[in-house]
Amino acid sequence: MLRTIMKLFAVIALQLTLAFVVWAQTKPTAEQFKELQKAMDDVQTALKGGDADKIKEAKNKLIKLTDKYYKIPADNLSEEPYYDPAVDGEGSTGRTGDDKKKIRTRLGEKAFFDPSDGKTPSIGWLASSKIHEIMGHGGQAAGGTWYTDDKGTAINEIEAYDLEIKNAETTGLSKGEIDELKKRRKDWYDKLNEANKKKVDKGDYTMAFLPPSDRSKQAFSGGAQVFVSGEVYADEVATATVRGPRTLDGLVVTTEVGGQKAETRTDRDGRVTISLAQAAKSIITATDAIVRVLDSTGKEIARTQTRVLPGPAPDVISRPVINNIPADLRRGDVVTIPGRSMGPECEMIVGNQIQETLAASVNEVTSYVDTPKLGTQDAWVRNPYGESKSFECNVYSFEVSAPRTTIRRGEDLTATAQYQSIRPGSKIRFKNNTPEVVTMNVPGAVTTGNEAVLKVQNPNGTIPVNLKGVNTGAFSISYEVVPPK
Amino acid sequence: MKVLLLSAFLVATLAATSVRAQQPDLLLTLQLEKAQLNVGEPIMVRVLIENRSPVDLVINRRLLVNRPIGPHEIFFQITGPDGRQVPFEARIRESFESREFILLGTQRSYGKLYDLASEHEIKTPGEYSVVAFYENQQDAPAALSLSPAWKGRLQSQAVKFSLK
Repeated sequence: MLRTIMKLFAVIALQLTLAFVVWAQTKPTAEQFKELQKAMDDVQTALKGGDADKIKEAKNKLIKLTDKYYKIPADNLSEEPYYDPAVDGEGSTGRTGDDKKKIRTRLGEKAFFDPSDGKTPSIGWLASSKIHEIMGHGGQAAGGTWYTDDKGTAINEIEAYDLEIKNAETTGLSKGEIDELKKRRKDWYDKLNEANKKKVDKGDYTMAFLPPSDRSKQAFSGGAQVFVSGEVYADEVATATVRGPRTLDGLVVTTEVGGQKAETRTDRDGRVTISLAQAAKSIITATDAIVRVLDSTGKEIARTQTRVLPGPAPDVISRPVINNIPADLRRGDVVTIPGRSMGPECEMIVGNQIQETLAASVNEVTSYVDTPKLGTQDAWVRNPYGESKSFECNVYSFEVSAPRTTIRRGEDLTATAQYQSIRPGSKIRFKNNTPEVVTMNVPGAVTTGNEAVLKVQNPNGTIPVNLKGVNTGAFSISYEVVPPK
Repeated sequence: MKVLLLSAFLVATLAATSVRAQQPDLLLTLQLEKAQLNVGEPIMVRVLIENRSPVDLVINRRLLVNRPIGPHEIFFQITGPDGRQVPFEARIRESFESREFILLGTQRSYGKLYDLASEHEIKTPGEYSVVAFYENQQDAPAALSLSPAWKGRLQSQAVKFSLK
């Protein structure tokens, strides 16, 4: 019963929200417009007088009246929009609250004037600015589609400008003002790739990026290991990840270079930021650093190394540049993409899925590949300053399972390799690592010594790997997928 | 792989050199009003563009602060106590095309005062490092009858403040 009521409320709330977005704003009556005009005249008088307080008061009154007579909804606001002379543009909107579902909008000087000359007072432009900020960006914050990446930001802006253009008649914009909106929309639209342009053309303003999965925790559970970039600059902050131990929080990660040591601790996800500025300040040539992971007793549980380049690190102030992303990615692979201008916040995107970053530095990003969708999709990397070029890649799955990992002498046992979305013509190379325990037979494969190579013809399929025990013990079979060139 | 990384390093070095080569003409300076602040307090910075060349230069005086993907002349790189960058949080409604240009006389400066806390979420106590960037890629509108504007990107020195 309670569920039914809750569902009903959810449906009503959704309908109200939709109605709100489409129908909330109306054209003021002639009487109301006169009142608005009077308030705008008061703004002009205040501007001529030059008294900052009076200007603020007159503008805030006009803002309030615009909300009232154009029926601009206030549900998405954490506070009444207000005039702020410090705002450079026409409007500045930020999210507020712990859940960031509400917004705060400040309106600048330019929101009150026709943009074609910046001098002619325009009530319509003010109303349109508010539709952009409050209904556009406010709706995005409330609906969970406020994006922070470049493509998402462009889509958010296009949606807000589309709302303004759609309501241009209601707000009474001039042809010049409508042309200005169309120009701005085009400037943002030109920043999208073809796939996103097609979505926006259909009126779909969602990016629906899925947050990175944390499946690497399960995939690498067991023996501890630490993922660090192969090269870092002495003065950069690089990110690294520890996987393996059951508890990942608070592990000590030490980095030793040139006799100096830096120490830091992992967060609950096993992430750590490595800053070598102090430890590596004296190095003058590229030097290997040892990265160790210690458990709570101080015992070393994992170790790797990275090459430390003498600083200064190139500034990461622009979009990442990469030359390539592998044309084939296996779900569950760890892939390192070299490039430049990557930085600690760099992440790889495949299709609509943000990949989990295991390590990142100026020159490379290492990700754990995990996408819900298999097959051909766009892949790229991004940092806070933008996105790299996109590359088309095929994501496939390939998993091998066996009933157990031990066998008795004379026993027959079949391991199974299952694959999906693999490129036809790919070669699967199986290697028997324990010939003293088992013999291996892969039907249809060319066998040489302990290796069997099978060329697959279909994207999806199953390969039986027949094993026969020659001795009792544990066996190990490894595999490699070699996509066609 | 090594060759790839080496070439990436060389390109990055060249890019850095080209940015520095612009600096004799215009110099971007970032000044903090206070270096010790409390959480919630405005974090006022002054961004100044100084014409160090022997000739007058046209600059984009709009100095709109935004994220680099959007319309902007200024953006900040703020590194928080955890070593991560503090993102620009706001959405700015403004044209990509600036109509605000001035002729900046030789040895003259132009700048603006800006509250970093107004559009960046700076709430965690600790030490922050800030670098400002000025970028312009357009000329003044024909109606202003100005010579071609200075184009490129300038980087300021880093300044530090701490938040209690």
